[in-house]
Amino acid sequence: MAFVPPDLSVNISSLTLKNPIMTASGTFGYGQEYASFVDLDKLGAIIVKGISLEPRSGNPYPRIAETTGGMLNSVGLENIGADRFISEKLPYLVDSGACVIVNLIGNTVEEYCELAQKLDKTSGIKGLELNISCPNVKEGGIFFGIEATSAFQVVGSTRRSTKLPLIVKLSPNVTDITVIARSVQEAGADAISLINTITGMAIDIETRTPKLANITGGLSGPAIKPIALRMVWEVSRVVEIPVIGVGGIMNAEDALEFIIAGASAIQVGTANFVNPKATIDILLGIEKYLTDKNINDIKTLIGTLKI
Amino acid sequence: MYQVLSKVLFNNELSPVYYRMSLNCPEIASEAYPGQFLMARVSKQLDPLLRRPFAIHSVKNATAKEIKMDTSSCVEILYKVVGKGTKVMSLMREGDEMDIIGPIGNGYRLDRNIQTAILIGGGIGVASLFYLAETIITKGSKAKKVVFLLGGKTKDDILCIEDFKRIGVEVRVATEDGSLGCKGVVTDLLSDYFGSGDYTPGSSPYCFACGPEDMLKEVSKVIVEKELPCQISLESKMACGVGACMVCGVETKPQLGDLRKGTVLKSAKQKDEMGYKRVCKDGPVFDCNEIIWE
Repeated sequence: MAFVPPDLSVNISSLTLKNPIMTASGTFGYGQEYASFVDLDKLGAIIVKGISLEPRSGNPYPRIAETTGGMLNSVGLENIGADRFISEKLPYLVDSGACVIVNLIGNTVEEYCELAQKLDKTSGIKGLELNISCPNVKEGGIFFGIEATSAFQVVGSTRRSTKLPLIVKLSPNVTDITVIARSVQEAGADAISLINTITGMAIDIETRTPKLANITGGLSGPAIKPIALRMVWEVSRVVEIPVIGVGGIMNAEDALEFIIAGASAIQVGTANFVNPKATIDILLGIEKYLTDKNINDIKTLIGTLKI
Repeated sequence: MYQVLSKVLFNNELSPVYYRMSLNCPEIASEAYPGQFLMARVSKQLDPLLRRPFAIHSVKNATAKEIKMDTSSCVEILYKVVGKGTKVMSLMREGDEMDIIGPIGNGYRLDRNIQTAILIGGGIGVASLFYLAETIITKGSKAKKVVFLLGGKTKDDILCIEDFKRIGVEVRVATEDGSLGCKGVVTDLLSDYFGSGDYTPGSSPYCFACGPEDMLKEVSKVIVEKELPCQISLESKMACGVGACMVCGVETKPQLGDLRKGTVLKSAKQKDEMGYKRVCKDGPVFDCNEIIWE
C-alpha cells in the first residue's frame, strides 16, 4: 500500500491551518527576517510582532538578560505601528504565501477596537491575536489580562469590531488562569493562546543593579515549559474553544506534549533565536512521530492525555 | 545569510583569556566583508541557551572560490572568555563542530580611494579591525597608509599587533598601567596623532573604531571636532541576530533617509521615536554622527 502522509491540518475556529506550527509573536519579527531559513508558507501560521495603532519606541536598554535555560526580555512592545506594518511588511508576507495572524496591542479598549477594525478591512490577514498579557508595559497589555472583568470587556468590544478569527493570548501572571480563560471565551474569543512570558528579574551582583533597565522582564525559553504545559492542560479542560500552546517549546517532543495536554496548535518562540529553523525541525519531528505511531490525523492526538 | 555546522580548524589561546578560533564555513567565507559578524551556538544543549555574536576577524578563501567545499575556506574569530558561553568555546578542539549563522549585519563601508585610514581599537575591538586592515591594504590600487591605534588595560589585552605589522600597518599602543606602549588610553594616542606631524589638517583620513562603548563615545568626540568621517562598530547583547527580537537597539538621530514614503509623523516626539536602530540588522557599523550617546 502506498505511503499516505499523516494529516497535519488543524482547525482554529473557522480557520484551518495546514499544520499546528505557529510562530510566537515577538520572536519572528515580521517573517521576512527568517526567510533565509524557513519557507514561510510551510508553517501553519505566522504571528507577527505585536502591532499598535501608533508606532512605539519600547523600553530603555538593556532589554535582555540570559538566565539558566531561559531569557528575560523587556522590549516593551516596540513596533512600527499599524500603517507602516500594512504598507511595508504585510505585502511581503502575503506574497510568500504565509497564513498571517496579527498580534494586537492597545492602551485602551477603544484602541484595540480601532485597530481591529482597521485590520479587518485589510486583505491578506487571516486572523487576530489579542495581546492582553505583555508584562513589560503598564498601560495596555497585561492590565487587561490579569483581571476577568477587564479581560471580558476588551475581548467583547474587540469581538464586535472584527469578523476575523480572534485568538486571545493570556498571561500566566495570575492566580487562576482558568477564570480568565472562561471569561474571554464568554466574551466571544474564538481561541486562546497561552502562555505569555512569566515576570522575572536578574541582578548583577558586582554593580548591585538589575540586569534589565526595566528592572523586571518576561521570562521565556525551556525554563518555563512545565508551567506553560500545566496551564494549557488546566485551561483546555474548562473551555470549549481551541487552545494554542506556547512556552518553551524547543523541539517536536515538547510540541507533542502540548498537543497531548490539549493544545490544538502550538507556537514556537525563543527557540527561533537558538535555531532559526526550529519551526521546520519541529514540523518534521511531529510528522515522523505520527508516522511511527501510525496516527493518520493529528487531530486525533489532541487532548489524549491518559490520567 | 547561512546556518552552517562548521568544523573547528584551530582554537588557540593568545593570552590568558583571549582565543583565536578558525571555523570551516566556505559559504560564509565567500560572502563576508569587514565589520560583519557571526552568531554562534556554543552548545548543542539548552544551556547556555542563546547564540553569541562574534565579529569576523579574518577570512581565508580557497584559491579557487568555486571550490565551495575546500577546507581551507574559513572565517576566524577572536574572543575573550567572559562568561559561560565563551568558557565552553575555549574548551573546543580541532574537529569539534559549532553551529554558526552568518555573515550578519552592515559592516564597514569602504571607499576605494582611501589614502590614509586610522583604525582605533580597544581590547577585543581589535577583532573586526584586523579584517578591515587586511581589506583596505589588499583592495584598490592606490598607495595607502593604515595606522592602528590600540588601547587596553594591560599588555595582556593588547592582541595581534605583530599580525598588523606583518601586513604593513603602523601600530601604536597605549595601556592604562603602562605595561606596553604609552601609559594612557587610546584617545590619548588619537590626540597625539592629530597633534603630530603625521597629520596634515585637510588631509581627510578615514577613521574606523571598534571597542567598548565608553571608548567609542570619547573617540567620537575627538573625531567629530576634527570633522572627519568615522565609522564605529557597536557591541550589544543579542538574542536573534537577524533583526527580529528588538533587544539590541541603539538610539540614533533620525536620518532623512529613514522617513519612508507614506509615513506620517504626527509629533516631534514621534519623530524622535523613529530613531532607534537595531545593532544586528541596521549595524553593527554606524556613522559616529548618527549615535546619541546619552
